[in-house]
Amino acid sequence: MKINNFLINFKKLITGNWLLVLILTIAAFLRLWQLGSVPPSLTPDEASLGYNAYSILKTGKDEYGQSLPIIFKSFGDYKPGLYVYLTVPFVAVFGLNEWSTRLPSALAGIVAVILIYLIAKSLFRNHGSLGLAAAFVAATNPWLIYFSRGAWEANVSLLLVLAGVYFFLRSFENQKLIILSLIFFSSTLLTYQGAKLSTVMVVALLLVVYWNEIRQLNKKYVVYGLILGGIIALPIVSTIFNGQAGRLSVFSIFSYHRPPEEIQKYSDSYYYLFHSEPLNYLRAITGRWFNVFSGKFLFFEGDTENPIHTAPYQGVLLLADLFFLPLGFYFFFKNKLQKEYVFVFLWLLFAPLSAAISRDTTSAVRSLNTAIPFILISSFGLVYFLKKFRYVGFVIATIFYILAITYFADAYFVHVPAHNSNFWRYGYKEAVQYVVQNQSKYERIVFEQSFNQPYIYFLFYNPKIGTTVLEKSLNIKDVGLVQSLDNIEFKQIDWQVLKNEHGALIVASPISLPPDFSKDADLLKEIKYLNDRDVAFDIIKIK
Amino acid sequence: MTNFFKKYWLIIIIVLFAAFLRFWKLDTYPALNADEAAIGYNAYSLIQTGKDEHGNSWPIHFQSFNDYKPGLYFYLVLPFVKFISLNEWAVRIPNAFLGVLTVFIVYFLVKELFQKERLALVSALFLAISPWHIHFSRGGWEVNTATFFLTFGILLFLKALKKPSTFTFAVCFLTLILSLYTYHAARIIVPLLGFGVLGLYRKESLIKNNFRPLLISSLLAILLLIPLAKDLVSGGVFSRAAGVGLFADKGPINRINEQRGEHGNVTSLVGKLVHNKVANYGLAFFENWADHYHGEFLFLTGDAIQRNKVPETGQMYLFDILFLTVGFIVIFRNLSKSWKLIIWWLLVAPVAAALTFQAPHALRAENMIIPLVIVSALGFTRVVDWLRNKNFKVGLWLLGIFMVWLFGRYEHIYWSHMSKEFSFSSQYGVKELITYIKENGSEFKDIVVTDRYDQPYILFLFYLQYPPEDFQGKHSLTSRDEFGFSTVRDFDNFHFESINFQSAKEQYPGSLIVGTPGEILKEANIIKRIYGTNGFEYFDIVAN
Repeated sequence: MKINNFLINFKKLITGNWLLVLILTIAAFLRLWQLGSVPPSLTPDEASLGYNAYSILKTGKDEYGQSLPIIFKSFGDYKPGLYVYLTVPFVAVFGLNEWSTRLPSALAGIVAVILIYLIAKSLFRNHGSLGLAAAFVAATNPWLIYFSRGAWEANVSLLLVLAGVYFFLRSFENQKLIILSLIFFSSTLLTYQGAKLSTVMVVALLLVVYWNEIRQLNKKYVVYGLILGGIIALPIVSTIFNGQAGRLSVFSIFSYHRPPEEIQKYSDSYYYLFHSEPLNYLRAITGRWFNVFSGKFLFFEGDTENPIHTAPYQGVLLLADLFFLPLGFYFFFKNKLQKEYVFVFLWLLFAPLSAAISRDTTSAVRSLNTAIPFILISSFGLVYFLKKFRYVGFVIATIFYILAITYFADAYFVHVPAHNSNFWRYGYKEAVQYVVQNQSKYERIVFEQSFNQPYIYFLFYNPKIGTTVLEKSLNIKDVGLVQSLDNIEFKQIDWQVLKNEHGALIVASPISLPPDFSKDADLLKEIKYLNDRDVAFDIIKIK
Repeated sequence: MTNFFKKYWLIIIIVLFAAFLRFWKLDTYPALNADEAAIGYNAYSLIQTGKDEHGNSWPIHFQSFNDYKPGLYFYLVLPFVKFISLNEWAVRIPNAFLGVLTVFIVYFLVKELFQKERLALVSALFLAISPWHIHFSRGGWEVNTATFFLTFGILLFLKALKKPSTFTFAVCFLTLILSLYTYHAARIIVPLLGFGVLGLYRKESLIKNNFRPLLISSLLAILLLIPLAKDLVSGGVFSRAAGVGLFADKGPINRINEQRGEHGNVTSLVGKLVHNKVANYGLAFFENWADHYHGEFLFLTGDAIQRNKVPETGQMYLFDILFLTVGFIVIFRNLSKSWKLIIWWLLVAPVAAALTFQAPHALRAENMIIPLVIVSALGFTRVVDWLRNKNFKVGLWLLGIFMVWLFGRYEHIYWSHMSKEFSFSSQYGVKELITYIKENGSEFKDIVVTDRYDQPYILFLFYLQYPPEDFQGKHSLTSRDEFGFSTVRDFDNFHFESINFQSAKEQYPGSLIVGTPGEILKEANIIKRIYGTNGFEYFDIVAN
């Protein structure tokens, strides 16, 4: 009954709203086209999510034999498991491949555009076509596209946050929806490690800004929502106390101190007043927070510290936003600063915090939620620009967007594969396929060990051995590196030892091999990165 | 007179405070750098001989290290060299004084624009304590003098609008033109700002009602610009400007080739359409421009070049981020013409810096600070009003403590850490070295000095007060290095080169060899070690 209602509402939303349909088509195209091959290869995390979905589908257990876990141990990073379960049906239908692994995130990205449309409409009712503008800006927004293309749990988490925000806003009209809102918010925790901070932030802001409205909600529904949400969140909250959240501390800025000689330089009588360690952390956090708002990150270079988060020489916003965003701020703040404006502005200020307290100086994935306030504000710029300059404005805006989208599409579809294939760990698939085909010919196979977790690519691209042999031959050390799989060993390349292993097959990156390896070995295959210049792997056989 | 003090006592205190921050120990800290020595010595040379160090008479741009420095500031220094002799004070007083005066000008400018006494006072105070403005007021920084002329010119324009006459417009144009003679960047900023102002005030029937005065003063302005224009098109100046310009950076070109290559085929049409010089240099420009608004630059660590900043401090204070945010929101809510002028100024201020390949650049974009402090001051007044209305006394106290603390931190780092952290940002130790050589160097045949620290010859000329007539025509400039600078290797019995101790020992018997501690071998006959005021060992002197 309820679902039926929802579908009717959805039909209403779509029919008679051909512009929205058009925008959604654009969104779908930008998120689905060549999804299997751009980005050019799977990261270890993507492969792990896909393989675990496959494993759940076939056996009901994860790669370690755990039955239906809520949190997957994976490489020892303990991934919250919702993404895996969302992937299961796609793997069932399309088989285990790049496409099926990435599809949940891509679909989440398309649905996110609808939710942004709905949120914009319910936040800002008297601003004409703001909803449509926001949907368009969201559909073409690089930040959202980057993380919709690839198995990024953060993107599904973002969708759930949007759903949580939307149903929260609607709950003032239909109080039951607060239950739905709380369920969505708490399920972000099941999706993404970083949600612990970013979701709490959004919920806290909603609490503060909408406190009066919340107090008028029916207590019964709030309590139901809290209980349901609590049950969902419980497994994740408990990890904080049993050490499985250890990965957070690796990424936390507080795990990295100033070197003693740096402190020495400032050890004068004013040390505690002007140079103390907490102040130093505060400076580091502020700097990372500023980075999210820098031109380099937003428009020109993107996340230089994590090249797989963005496209080369392209930021997380379109170049057209260089014009529409400042304009958007202007028209945004021209309004009386009611709750909605305060909420969006505070969200803009606070959403980057989870990136700000992390080790990396920039991180597009940890600051992903910031995309939403940026999109909303930028669409203010677009709507009022069109309103003010009408036809001329339309022509100018069209030109700006066509140029910017062309530049972005070129950066993404041409240059991500050609320029960044090494960062995307290109070559593992090709190497694995070669090894698997020739596996029976060799007694000993050595595959270079690395934190790229080569074993997961064997499981992903040759899942038959996975399901049958996995539990027997998987030796896990606590750091999370797999030592061997069947007759394939994962080892550091020690050439002095290996060169005497006559007849062994070695897969290694050229930097790990001596330049004159051909004295002792035959080169069987060379796998090049997509820049057609650098070599990812040499597959060699010891003479 | 007492009325005057009654009316203006607050701004007088602010200006005195600004003067204190700018003049305190101005002669010794930071140490004189090579550019300042060049300004002083060329002024000295003009007084003595009517020619600059290289024998050019009364130039508009000074050849100096072949970087062709804009000349006006040299002429401002000239009377000071004449009357208080060639020393650090003479080189630095004009700029520090104009820096103080800028604080005063900003007060009047804000009053003229917004008719708000309090806003004007806070703006002046914020400029008085601005790390950006203090830094470039303390030393012979031409840019700060140009910023003074620019700010004064804008004020004069607003005054001229009220009382249009040939005289008022002419004075306004003259002031702006002086800034063009003072600093390269002003040549781009002033026209941009000028067009913006004219655009904003076009509806005051500016041109229609004041056609005659405007025409006459414009003709006068053009007349005054002819010498500058003539000098600019002459080879040396232009090539220096091109050397630091955006197009001197080959990065965007290399990137074009890389990007076209990634299209699989360098001649592909899409590749050429998307990746070309217009696109890549355009993007480089906008990126440089946007870098000047980066929080890291403005509020946290400042410029990349050590000489242009103090450690661990932004170009502004951290509290400015709060006030600027509030300020902009207030401005956007009611965008008056005066605020449009300020916003336009803020937008065009870094354009000249963005046209060079180093960005963000605190020096070239210094004039940004004027609109920034005004917006920040607006934010401050609003925050204080809000706290007062809520009767939130604790908040006011906390805010005050936070601001005083940040100001204290800046001053502490400026005086206690800057010269130690950035020990090569200025020519520390050179004065001490020359003092020693003056006393003890006469008995040596040659004096060989390391060229490790930036243009030593000019500091020797400066501190020795070496007779310019003995220098002109008797030295040669080297050809330009990779950064476009030349230097002088020899004059009199001084030789400036990088010291290879063994060969210098053989080449210059009976000489005094001055090298860095790294250049001088430990077992050498070191007769003196020279330390800078920061306690850092800069030179070891060997009697050969």
